Amino acid sequence: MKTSLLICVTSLGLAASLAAAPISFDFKDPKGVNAIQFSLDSVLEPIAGTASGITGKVSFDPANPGATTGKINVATKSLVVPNSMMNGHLLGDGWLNAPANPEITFELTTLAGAKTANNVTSAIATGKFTLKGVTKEIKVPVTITYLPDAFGKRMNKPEIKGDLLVLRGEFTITRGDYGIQPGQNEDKVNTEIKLSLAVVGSAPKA
Amino acid sequence: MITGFRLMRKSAFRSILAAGALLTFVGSIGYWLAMGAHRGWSQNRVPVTQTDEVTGIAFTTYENRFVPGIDVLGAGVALAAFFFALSFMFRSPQPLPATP
Repeated sequence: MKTSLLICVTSLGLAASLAAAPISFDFKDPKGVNAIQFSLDSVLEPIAGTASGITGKVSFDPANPGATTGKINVATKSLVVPNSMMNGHLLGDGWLNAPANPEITFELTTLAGAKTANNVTSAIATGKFTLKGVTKEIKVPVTITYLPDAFGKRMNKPEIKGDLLVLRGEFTITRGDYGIQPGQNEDKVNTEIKLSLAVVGSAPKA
Repeated sequence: MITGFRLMRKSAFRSILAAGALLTFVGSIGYWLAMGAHRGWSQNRVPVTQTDEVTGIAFTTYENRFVPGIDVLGAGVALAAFFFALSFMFRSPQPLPATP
């Protein structure tokens, strides 16, 4: 009797610990929606584009969103602006030098002031942002939306179980801080680059 | 006779250049207007915003088509101005005033 009770309690404890375990979300989106939008003012119009080569993993615990960790990578060569000549300049030696700096990364170190309501967590993410080989610590206000059991619906295959995690955030960097034409062409192209992140990670359940 | 022929050729060439300038000017403005009168730089791909239904994420896709911008319009107007200026090089010489 005692043995049965012990097994029962142990099983329940194990199930509870598994249920509370952080979930790993993969940000290589099977639907190809993930992108970071960027924009910087210039003489005639803002130079705006997207970077769609997003990969990375984020570990999120719905019971403890403040403990979220992870890393998002962006393939530099995936940056696109509508004008192909500008695109060449952007990826070339003078600007991002994509062949030498193939990835732009953000590594989340801490999530402060996390407040959760209806599966949406607002917080300030602190992390290491690497661009053109320069790493700096930045703070980004983010919202994290946890969508349990939404993976199958999104893939139009309701029989597949799994969760989704949507990260949203906006921040501004100064291009000169990352060695992008520091002190040059400031009258033609603004020094500030606005970045807007809206990406979804998937955690299908086998 | 030869001088008259040269005068006629110069005059005709001048007219062709002036007409070319006018055509280029009107053509480039018309082309720019017809293609959407985009007041920014020319675009080789046009961004289209879509929304992912489940997540609500607004994402951008690109249509591969050319939209002329201010740079194309400026180049057209500059070319028209060049043709027009060139036409002045083929002015017919003014007849000398008759001596009393």
